[in-house]
Amino acid sequence: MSDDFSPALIEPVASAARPRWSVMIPTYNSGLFLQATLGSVLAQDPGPHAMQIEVVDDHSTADDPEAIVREVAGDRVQFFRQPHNVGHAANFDTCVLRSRGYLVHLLHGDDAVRPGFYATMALAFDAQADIGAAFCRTIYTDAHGRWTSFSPLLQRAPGLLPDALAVVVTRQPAQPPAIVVRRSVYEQLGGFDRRLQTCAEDWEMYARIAAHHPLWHDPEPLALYRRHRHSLTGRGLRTGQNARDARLAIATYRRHVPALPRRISREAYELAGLWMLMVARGAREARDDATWLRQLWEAVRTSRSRTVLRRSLQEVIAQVRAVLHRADASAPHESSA
Amino acid sequence: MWTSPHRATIAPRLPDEPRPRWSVMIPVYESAALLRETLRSVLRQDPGPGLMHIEVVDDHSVRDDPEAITREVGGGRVLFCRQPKNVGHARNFETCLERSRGHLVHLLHGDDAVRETFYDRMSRAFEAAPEIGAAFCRQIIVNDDGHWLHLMPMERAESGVLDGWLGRIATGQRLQTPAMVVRRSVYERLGGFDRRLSWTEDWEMWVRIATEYSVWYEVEPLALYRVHSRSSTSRQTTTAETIRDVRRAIAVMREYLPADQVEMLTREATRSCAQAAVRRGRRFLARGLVPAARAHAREAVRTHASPAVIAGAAAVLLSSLARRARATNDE
Repeated sequence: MSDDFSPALIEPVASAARPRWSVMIPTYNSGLFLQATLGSVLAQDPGPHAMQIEVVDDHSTADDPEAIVREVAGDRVQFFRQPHNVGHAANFDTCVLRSRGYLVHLLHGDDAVRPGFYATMALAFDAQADIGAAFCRTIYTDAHGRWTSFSPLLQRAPGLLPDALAVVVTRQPAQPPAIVVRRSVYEQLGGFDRRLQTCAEDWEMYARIAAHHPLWHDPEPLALYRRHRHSLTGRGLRTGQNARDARLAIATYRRHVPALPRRISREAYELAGLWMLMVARGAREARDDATWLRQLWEAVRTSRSRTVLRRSLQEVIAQVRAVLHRADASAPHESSA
Repeated sequence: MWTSPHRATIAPRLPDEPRPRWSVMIPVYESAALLRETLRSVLRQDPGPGLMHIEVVDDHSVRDDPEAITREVGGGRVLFCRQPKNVGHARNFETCLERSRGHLVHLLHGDDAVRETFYDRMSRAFEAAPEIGAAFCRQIIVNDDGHWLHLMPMERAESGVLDGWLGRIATGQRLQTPAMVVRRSVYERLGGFDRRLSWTEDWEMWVRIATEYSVWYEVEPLALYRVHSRSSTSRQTTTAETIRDVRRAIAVMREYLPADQVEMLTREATRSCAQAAVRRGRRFLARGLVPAARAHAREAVRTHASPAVIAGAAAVLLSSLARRARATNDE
């Protein structure tokens, strides 16, 4: 892992005839989830002159996204396949490089949008010409697409997000399907941080944008973010790579935003630690003890705030109880008579 | 078994009366501004007057004019009825049940709403499982402005008839009224809402229904339940009257829960009520509402004096004393 932070250069688009929108859909073994993703975009398609839609596949081996694209979208959606697997952050860069529109929506091949997403987001850029990006609230779903929770309500009406950098760094309120970024912002700031192997590349990017441009937020939950064990983030949980990525992202904010107050980076470490504890809890419930231990350990390594320490202790107690209960349940029943 | 002086008898409709499939009964009291969204959410999926009776039942609002809103949004489509005097919300719900004409009754409070396809999905539940007495869907909790805040947990992975439902609903409230659709014939048999209850009358009704009928769960979150920011500081909440009302509801349930389960279920219900009281006490304390915190600590111990509850309540009381001591020192 290199310590150098040198994001890819995003060249401006040469052509004068540009659509307003580029919906760029990175995939890697996303399987059938891609059908729902494409369907959700095509249901609000304003036509090829107004919207570029392209799937950028990172050389999937387990499935055939091109066949899914042809089946669902005919030739309305372009398809590009990497000649070899380049990793998710480099694939996102390819998405941005291949985009031709003014507004770029990077919609992962397992996420989706709800009706009205593009119309609502367009209103933001119409209302406030100088924003770098706009995001709405997110609905989290499980692997089956069932809703599990909502991202927090940050403000009661659509508008500029006050104190955007601190909000992004300490709360990570925007999930990839919920955010639309001006292409010119990527041209100015460069591509994704490729050192981040499993997660936090989005968090780092949004913080970089917030450090340079105003952000718009709409409280309507119009984006769907799927959490599943086979997702990239899901795979990083067993090795603890998610924790290393999160810490590197926070260290990067501190280097690139010298004015970032210490309190804010402490809160960011705490947020990351609490996320690891949430993962640990899920691992405990799924009886995945290796992931549980790894995430608990990484949480305490990441932040030693009072909240993280208290919750870690609670997590240990809960695990001890669960193990005793398991032992109890598996012991042969003895007659009490 | 179900006749009681504490609940209204819901008389069957006349046999030759034409009856729609649905009655959407909308009780309101001083919430006319929110009624617009409630009515619109129903009218967007209106199958027509032959299939759906829609009526607003006003508990004699004086600060605003729900009749004007009903006319404005509903034209002549939505009926309106006003109580001659204020009767309280539980009695007003009773009037709603009595005035309903449809086979399926949806009691939709005048500040809640439904999402599109609610009536279709619920209709299909009663077609798929004709034996059910009631059906409800997952709920979304919304704030004063209608922004979505939380999702209620899933009761079941797929839509279908709930297993072991009585054991779950009898141990604590777990759903909001706008999500529930009940056959009118069920109310005709089991009676109206219990008049001894002022806060938990809906919960007690769902338990009563669960003792006699199977219940369907729809996994899509199609009902929107509004939490008012002022309701957490209302008199009923801060005096812990709501906790006393849960105890009253548990006492009512003892009258009819099956003999082989009544002890276990009421013990569980009592325990979870006391735990909720401790949690609320902690929350009030965090917000600096000391009398409300203490009221909840006291009610928790009165409800269920287990070591865990006593310890939790004592912690709330001690922190409230510490807070007062600090406040005195600061002066």
